[in-house]
Amino acid sequence: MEVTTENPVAQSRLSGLLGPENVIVTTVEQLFAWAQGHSFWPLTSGLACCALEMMACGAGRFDLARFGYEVFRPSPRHADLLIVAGTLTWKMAPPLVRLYEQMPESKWVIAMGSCASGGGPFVDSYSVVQGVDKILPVDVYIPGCPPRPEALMHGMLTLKEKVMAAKRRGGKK
Amino acid sequence: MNQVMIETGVVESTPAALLADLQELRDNAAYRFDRLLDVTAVDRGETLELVYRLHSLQTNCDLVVKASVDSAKPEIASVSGLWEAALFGEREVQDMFGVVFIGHPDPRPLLAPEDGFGFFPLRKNYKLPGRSGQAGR
Ligand code: SF4
Repeated sequence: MEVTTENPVAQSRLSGLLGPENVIVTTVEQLFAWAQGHSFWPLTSGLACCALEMMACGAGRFDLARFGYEVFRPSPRHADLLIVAGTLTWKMAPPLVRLYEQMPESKWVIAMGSCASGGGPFVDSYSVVQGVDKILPVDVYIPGCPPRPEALMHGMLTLKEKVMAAKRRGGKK
Repeated sequence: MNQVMIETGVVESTPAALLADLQELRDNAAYRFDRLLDVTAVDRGETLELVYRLHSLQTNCDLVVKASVDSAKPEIASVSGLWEAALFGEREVQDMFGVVFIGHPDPRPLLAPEDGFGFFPLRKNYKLPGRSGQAGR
């Protein structure tokens, strides 16, 4: 079957996927990765000012739903993406690790903003964790103080690439 | 009550007499300091000065009561039995200055992590570790 689309990238991907009898050939792993990468369920996990940008991202103007990522979950049991949006203090660190541990596999972590990535403006403080990668495995870092909603979207799309690429390579994540 | 003037006075007490003094200020009809606004502390080097800010809804007056304890062994009675508002304030002072409040019903750290910071950030002899200093945590 001939597949036609305006987009040359999509064209090459589709013709790679579709066999002669209009059958899509793939592996279960790749199929799962495709589904996971296109439907992250983020945990509602705002810690400071960056959370406002995360909320703006989900609201109408930027509309994260366009990418399938809008289902913010209030329970870690339902979420597979932890967006650490804000300043993490040592006081808050144990609850955050607990939330991460309560999330089912597979799960990913985005460090949103300079605070989550490396301590941000509070890097010299005694009470602030100098980057969540001190206590959690971070997949994508988003710089900015705060990052604009577009940057968060870019971060999530980058994570999508990472998830799908890892499955194509046969990697663990 | 249209009184807008707020008078503030300062009185010194001692750790031993603190509870009795504050009880008098709260219960004596001439004072009636029925609200505790804040508990905090000041590092004076050799001593730590505990500061209790009182307010009276009846006279609309403020009063600051101070009591000094030894920095090396900072212990003082908890006033949470007189004003429940002291519960959080005393826990904060405990985290930040290392003061032990004897008789506090729930002396868990309030702002510090559960196992404490391991230092007292608002003491003058505490120096910020800087960017690399936290690495050992
Ligand atoms: S990176 Fe900036 S905007 Fe984001 S939480 Fe830290 S201080 Fe706030």
